Amino acid sequence: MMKKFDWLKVRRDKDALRARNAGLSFAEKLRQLDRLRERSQAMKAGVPIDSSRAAGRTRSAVARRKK
Amino acid sequence: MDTSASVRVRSAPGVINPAHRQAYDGLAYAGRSRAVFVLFGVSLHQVLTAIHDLEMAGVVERYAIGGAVGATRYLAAVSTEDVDVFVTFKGASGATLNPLAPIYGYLKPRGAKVSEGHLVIGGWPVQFLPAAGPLLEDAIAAAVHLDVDGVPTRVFTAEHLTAIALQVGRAKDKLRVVQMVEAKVLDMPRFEAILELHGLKTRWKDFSRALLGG
Repeated sequence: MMKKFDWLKVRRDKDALRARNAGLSFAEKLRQLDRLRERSQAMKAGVPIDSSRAAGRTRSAVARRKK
Repeated sequence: MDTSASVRVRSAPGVINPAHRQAYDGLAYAGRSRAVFVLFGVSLHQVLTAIHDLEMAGVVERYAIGGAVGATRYLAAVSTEDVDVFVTFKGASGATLNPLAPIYGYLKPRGAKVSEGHLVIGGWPVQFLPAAGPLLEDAIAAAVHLDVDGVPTRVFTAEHLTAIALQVGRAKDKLRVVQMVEAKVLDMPRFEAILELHGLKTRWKDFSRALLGG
């Protein structure tokens, strides 16, 4: 049976992300911008990137999924 | 191959060193996320240091960061193509035909590259814009002082960024106005005073009626 898409979970994740971002300092946000630019440069140059991390999952979340 | 967190590879900004690329490709995906790989040497910290040096050396009188990077101070980080730095000059040097020449003259020997009308610093295209008009001059004068990892820097206030976006009026600027209002980062009495001072009240009324529901 196909798994039902959980819109409420999407909404909760989005709210959690927004709350996390609101607490970030300007320096941390600038580092996020660096990473975003690096990622877009890598994609333009055809350098493969780690898709799990690209999807914004934390390292611990990636490790959990691999178990 | 060493995939520990201590691995650090840095190429020149904007250029991938083939040896670095080979090392990167040799890593397992998990290793790529563990290793600190900076393939392009992208660093906004270098940009902030360079523009602070410009002011310290007296090349510009005052500067402030605007655009999407400035807005990141108040909103979530979103991908952007360049860094907009607004500058004022001492005396008459800003009134010449090429007011940005001293900036290029100072930064090029220090490693900045010229590419498509931008100066590339730390892997970021940086656009220097002379503050033309009272709103931009006012925004630079009122900019917020910040310390970013030990580098003093200046960013436009949320109210000035929003007023400038309203004045410029491209689709992405309109989106920024909406984001600023929704994020509740504006001091509304201060914002309205800026709009009043720079003749943007009517535009704001039209905008808020059309896009913010009154």
